[in-house]
Amino acid sequence: MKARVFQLDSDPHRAAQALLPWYGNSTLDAEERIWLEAHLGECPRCQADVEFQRHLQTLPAAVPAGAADRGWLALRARLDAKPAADIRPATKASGWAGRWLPLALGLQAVLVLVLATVWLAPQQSAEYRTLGSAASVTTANALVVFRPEATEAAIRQALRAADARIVGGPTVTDAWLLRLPDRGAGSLARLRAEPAVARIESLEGEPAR
Amino acid sequence: MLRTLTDRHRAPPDPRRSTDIDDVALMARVARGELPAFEAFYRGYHDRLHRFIGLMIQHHAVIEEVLNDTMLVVWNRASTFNGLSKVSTWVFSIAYRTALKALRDHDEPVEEPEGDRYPSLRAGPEQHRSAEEARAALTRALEGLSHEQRSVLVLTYFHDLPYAEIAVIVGCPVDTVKTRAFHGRRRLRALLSGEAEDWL
Repeated sequence: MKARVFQLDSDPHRAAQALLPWYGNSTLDAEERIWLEAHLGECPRCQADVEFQRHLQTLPAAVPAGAADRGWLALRARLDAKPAADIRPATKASGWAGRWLPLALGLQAVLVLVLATVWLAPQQSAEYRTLGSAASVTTANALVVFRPEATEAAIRQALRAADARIVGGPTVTDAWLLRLPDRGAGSLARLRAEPAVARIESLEGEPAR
Repeated sequence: MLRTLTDRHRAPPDPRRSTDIDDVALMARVARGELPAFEAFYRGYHDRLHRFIGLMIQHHAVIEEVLNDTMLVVWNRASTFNGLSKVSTWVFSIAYRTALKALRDHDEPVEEPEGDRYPSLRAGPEQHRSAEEARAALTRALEGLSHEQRSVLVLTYFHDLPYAEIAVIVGCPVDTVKTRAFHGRRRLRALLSGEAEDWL
C-alpha cells in the first residue's frame, strides 16, 4: 500500500506532502522516512510545512483539572442506577425512533399518571419510602465515599450538619447516593471538609463558586 | 537536521500512557465485569479521549457526555473486543463514531471561515502571542475544517497515531486518510495565517 502511493503519484512533492503529517509524529517506516528526508533536503516548502506542524504539536488541548474524577463519578452513577444490560449511551437517538420515541414515551407516562391518580389516590398518603426505591434513587444529587475508618457517629454528624440525606447505596464501590437540600454550594463544601468524607461529587454539576 | 529539530521540540511521551499489553489485560478484566479494572481503564484513557473529543466537538457541555457514552460502550462490549486491532484503536474508533453521532444530533455546522475570524498563529516580534492565545486560535481554526479532516489531523498531530491506525479508527482506506490530512492541513494553515489556501 505504501509503495503504491509513490508509484501512483508521479509528483514527488505531492507524494512528500501526503506523508508529511506522519513524518512530524515519527510514525513513518524507515523506507518512507529516508525517502522523505531526501526530498526535504531540497524542498524549502516542505521544510516550512514541517516547521508549521512542529508548532501545532506544541499546542495540545488542556484537560480541565479534576475532569477524570468528575467524569468517573458521573459514569459510575449511571452504572449504579441500572443493571448493566439496561445501560445504553445517553446521546440523542436519531431516525424514526429518535423522533417519535420521546413523544410515545411521554404520552405513555401521562396515561400512566392519569390512571395512577384515579385508582391509587387513596393510597398516596404513605409517608415512608424504602432507601432502595426507584423514586428515591432518582432524587439523588450527590455521590459520596466515606473514609473506611470513619465511625457511624462521625458519618451521622457530618450528614446532619450538611442537612444531607442518604437515598441510596452502598454501590458496588461503596459509594452512597445523597440528597442535598439545594444545588449544594453550602452542603457540598461542608461535607467535603468533613474528616469522615473521602470524596464527594455533585451529580448535577458543581455550583458556581 | 530537520529530523533533529523535529524530535527536539516534541513533547516527551506521557508516562501514564498505557501499553497495549496493559490494555489487553485490563480489557479482559473489564469483560469479566470487574469495576476496579474499568475505573483504571477509564482513568488511563480519560485525558486522551477528552483531548480528542474536545477538538472534535466544540460544545464543552457535550464532551464529557460523549466521553462517558464511549466508555459505556467499552464497558458493555468489552467481551466483543477480538484483539485484531490495538485496544486504543478500538476505543478511539468508538469515540469517533460517538462524537460524529453527537455532532449530527447537535447539528453542528461546518461554516466557511469569514475573513479575519481566525487570527494568525504566527508570532512575530511585534506580535507576541501567548500559548493560550495560540491554542484558542488553533481551536477556532479546527472548527473551519470538515469533521473528517479534523479527526484525521487531531489523531495525527495530538495523538501521534500512524496513518494505518487512523484508517481503522475512522473506517476508510489509507489513501483517503492521506488525502484528508493533505487538504485539512492546507486549509488549517490558510485559516491560521489569514491567507488564502495555497496550491501546493
